[in-house]
Amino acid sequence: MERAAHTTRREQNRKQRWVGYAIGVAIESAGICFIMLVAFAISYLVAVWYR
Amino acid sequence: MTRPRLADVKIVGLYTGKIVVGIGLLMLVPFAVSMIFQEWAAALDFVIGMGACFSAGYLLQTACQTQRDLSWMHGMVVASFSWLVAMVLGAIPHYLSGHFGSYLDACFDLMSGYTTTGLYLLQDLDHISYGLNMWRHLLTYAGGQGIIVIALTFMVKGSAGAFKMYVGEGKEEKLMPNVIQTARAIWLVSLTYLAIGSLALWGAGMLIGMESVRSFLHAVWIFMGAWSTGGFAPQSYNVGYYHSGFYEILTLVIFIIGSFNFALHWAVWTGDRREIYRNIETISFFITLMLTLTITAVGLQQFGIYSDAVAVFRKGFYHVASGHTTTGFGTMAARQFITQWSPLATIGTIIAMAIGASAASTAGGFKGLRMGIIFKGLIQDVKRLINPSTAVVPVWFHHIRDTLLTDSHVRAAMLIVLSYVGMYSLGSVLGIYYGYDVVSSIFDSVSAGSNTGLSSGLASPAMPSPLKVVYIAQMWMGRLEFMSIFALIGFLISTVRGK
Repeated sequence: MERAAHTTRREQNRKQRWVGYAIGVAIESAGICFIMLVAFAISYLVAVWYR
Repeated sequence: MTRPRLADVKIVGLYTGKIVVGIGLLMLVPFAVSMIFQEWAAALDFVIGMGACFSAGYLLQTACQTQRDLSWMHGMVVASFSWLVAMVLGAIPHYLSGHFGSYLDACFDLMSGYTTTGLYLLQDLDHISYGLNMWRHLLTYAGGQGIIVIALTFMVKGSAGAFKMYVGEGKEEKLMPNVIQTARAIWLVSLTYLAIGSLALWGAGMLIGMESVRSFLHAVWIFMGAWSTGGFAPQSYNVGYYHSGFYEILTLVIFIIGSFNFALHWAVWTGDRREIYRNIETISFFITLMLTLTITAVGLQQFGIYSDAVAVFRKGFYHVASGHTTTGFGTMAARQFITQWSPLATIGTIIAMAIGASAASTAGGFKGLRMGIIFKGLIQDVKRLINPSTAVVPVWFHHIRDTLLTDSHVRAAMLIVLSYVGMYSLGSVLGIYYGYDVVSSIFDSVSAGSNTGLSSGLASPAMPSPLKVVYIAQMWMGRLEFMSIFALIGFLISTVRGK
């Protein structure tokens, strides 16, 4: 029974780890999109103002 | 200067042999692709290539049998020397394909792939075999993680000296306490993104009407080119071939994520979410991206060639981001940088390429960490000037953990940045010597040295052989960040002149 509980705990840890990885991927992707949009918006506005 | 002993040569030979065998094993993938698509001639090229790698690797390991572990010097020499040997042997299937004018051109393509540069001298790219396409993209993907990382993951077991080879390849970050676990963590991050990114690009390919199998292969290859910040693509018109804004945005996201430090990925993945906006490299990247983009956008406005924001985004932003992350993907013809863009816009892209992206990533260039450290060092010096001479001026920077900035940090960063500037200058001067215009010479030299791969049209099979050799050396030095190459040069000199 102890071994079964240990296996279940290990399964749960693995699942939690992969959920963490998935959240990490989502945060990185969203962060990149944010950086891209802000950087582009600022530089484009400067260029339009220059024109 | 002490002459290296036979034992030193043996240890370098042994580990180089292991890495060469690894390159041979890697060729199994394009060989399988060639077999699946019944490209018998390409399959035979890979059999010959594998034969050469396994024979050379076996001979080296047999002749250099030793129980000694690596010292720092050995690690550095193995890292730089193995890249050269891997280039020469990995180029065999390239040369046998008949798409290269000379073996030097094939070696150029190999070094460009391993170092994730993306410049190429291949002729008739649009009609190469699936197998060769897979090999080119696989080696850029593998080179992005690092040849040593591959060896550490699969071939070198529990060696205390393994970390020294890993550092020799220009990576210093330890994601885990153990360097072999670190190598495996790097692969976990890369393979997870490979699955997600390829699926997304596959879907995008189908949306624009590509046939399913072709769309899948293009998705995998474009992902490998983007993630590794390599810039290789299966078509000569690069990403512009797809004529799809959605496809371009997907590649943008992939190559920007790919240009980030593996330690940053690992920190965000394992729970430290704030790292993404606290890390000195992401801050530095954001600021320098914005500045170089502004220079390019103003330059483009001078000539008024793009009428709306979407066009500026798809042409201007795409190329600056591609240059800044040292990817080299493009959506327009190479000569347009010179003939269509204003010099200011082209200079903005050159600066972006020179700076590059993150340390311990697949990218090249000065690196955001060094730019951040130098900027903080400047701030510290200004503060020292305006404060009483006895005042202590502590300055901190955050990269995974808070670190107190010391003069040695600034000195080390400056030394590497100066080496890059010297290398960029060397290639530029040689280009000018051979009669190319100044902007093109600087553009392609910086592109080669920072492992970017954007070209102004200078890098072609017709360029003089000495320039090809210098570009190969620039790609190699830029990727390994000089120190291991200095170690190899020192090793060779002391072999000849040492006592």
